[in-house]
Amino acid sequence: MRLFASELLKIRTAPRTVIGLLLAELAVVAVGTASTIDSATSSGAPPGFESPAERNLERDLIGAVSSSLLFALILGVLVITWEYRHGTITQTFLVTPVRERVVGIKMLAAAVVGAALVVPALILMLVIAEIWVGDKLQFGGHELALMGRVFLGAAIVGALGLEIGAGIGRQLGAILLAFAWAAFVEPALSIWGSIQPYLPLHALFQGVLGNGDASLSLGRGLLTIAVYLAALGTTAVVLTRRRDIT
Amino acid sequence: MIEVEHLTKRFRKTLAVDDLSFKVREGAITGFLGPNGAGKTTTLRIILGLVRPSSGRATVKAQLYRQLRDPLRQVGSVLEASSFHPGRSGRDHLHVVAASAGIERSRVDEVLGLVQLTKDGSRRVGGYSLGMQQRLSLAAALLGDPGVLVLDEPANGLDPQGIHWLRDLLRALAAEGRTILISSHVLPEIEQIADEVVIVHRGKLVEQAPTAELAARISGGIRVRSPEADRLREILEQARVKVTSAQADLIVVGDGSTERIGELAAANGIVLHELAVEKATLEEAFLELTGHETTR
Ligand SMILES: Nc1ncnc2c1ncn2[C@@H]1O[C@H](COP(=O)(O)OP(=O)(O)O)[C@@H](O)[C@H]1O
Ligand SMILES: [Mg+2]
Repeated sequence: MRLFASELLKIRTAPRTVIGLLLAELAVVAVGTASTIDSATSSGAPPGFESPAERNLERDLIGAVSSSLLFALILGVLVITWEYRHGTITQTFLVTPVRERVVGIKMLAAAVVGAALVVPALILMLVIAEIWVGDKLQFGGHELALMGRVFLGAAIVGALGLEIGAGIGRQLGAILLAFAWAAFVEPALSIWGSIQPYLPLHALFQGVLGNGDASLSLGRGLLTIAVYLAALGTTAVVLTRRRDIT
Repeated sequence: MIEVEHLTKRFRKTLAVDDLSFKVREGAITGFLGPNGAGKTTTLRIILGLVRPSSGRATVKAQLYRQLRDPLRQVGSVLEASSFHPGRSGRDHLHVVAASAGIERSRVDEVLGLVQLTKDGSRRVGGYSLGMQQRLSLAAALLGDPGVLVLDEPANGLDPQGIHWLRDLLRALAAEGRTILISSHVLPEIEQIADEVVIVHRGKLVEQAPTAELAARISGGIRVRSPEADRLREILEQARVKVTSAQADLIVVGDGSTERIGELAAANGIVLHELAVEKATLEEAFLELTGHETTR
């Protein structure tokens, strides 16, 4: 518990990085929210008539909030790589020489803080939407469930980011690897329809977030992601234990 | 207390530590000496569980560092490379360390006082001088009030007053019964406070001995100054007295006695301007043992 608390303290006492990340996130969510509302309201349905696009507006707005997952990923990576970068990892391992504990606790911290990053994004989206199209919005139980999934997704992505960061040990390398996976590797692998359901981002977006045609159930998505979390986590622990801190 | 057993560490092609064994006595200050690149930092980092040895092991209180319970309360350490987040204040850095080690917050201000950083505690570490960073490292090492201190070149970046202050602090800490292992490549820093020295060179143990014994064991030789130095040198060599170095009017003799040299000079009518036993310093012993040219 005290180790977990000190991880949160580390994040809190390095405010510049966190504030930078937060501002970037809010900018992306603001733009995403604005363009979502703009394209929905300019589709030209007469007032009072609910076009299909408008009926999905709430859902699309929550989609805009889910861009905070990107920042949860970066934060997850940073939670460990900034320690390597600034050499504070030395002190961390002196306090907790059993390195698998460090990885585990940081994973938990990255998940919690990753999910916490959704809160400001959600508030910003709600404020913008309320001002702009407040009268047309109806958030019900279904939307609430979708929001819950965004929190869950952000926690997962934070933990994944931490594992990638711990495995690679370098900020830029870890972030580039994550982006290379998202931009090239997984799309390329998706060509084989039979393995697509087992790919991590597919499991995350379709299964956990419930995007697209929702062909993957939440349970299946979580199960797939859990396998990746376990495999990456094991790799991260092995690599972290081997690393010489010089 | 600290025990290093057949320790070897290879970084790719570099053999940094080579079958090194030594013990650090409880309650004493042990100087860990060697020129740059001798493997001191690597050895200390292995002791602290930061570097994995290729073979052999290092233990503290008969346990591997990773087996220690609450390691910060048992072993405090100052390492060469600074390890602070530049955006944090010195006090926040210590708060983070204290929180993670389960050390009460009030101790932070105590150790800041001990290293005389109270005034600068709330400044960002990024703006600290090397000397201030070194003091902050020392503060972190003392947080858990540990019985063992492992210090890697702690005097680096300190000004002469700072070094004097550090020496007094270490003496006081040792007087409380703590075991201190302190590395350095600069002898005079350690000579005055170390009870014992361990000398390494190219990763290998060269010597381990009490400081006083080592200084006494290695003779500094006999200085002989004479306007006829060249002739005297030949005479000495004929009499099988070993001359270790010779300059224009100065000869240093490795063995023999001042009486013998004086008598030989008198018998051959050579004028002497100086005939004295050099007092050996640890510095000379060190340079000799590690195979460096002496400075004179
Ligand atoms: N991480 C590393 N990778 C490769 N070589 C290293 C590394 N760390 C130290 N060395 C090498 O090991 C040797 C011993 O270094 P070090 O332990 O730092 O010596 P000292 O502290 O006595 O100056 C040096 O030759 C150094 O270049
Ligand atoms: Mg060194």
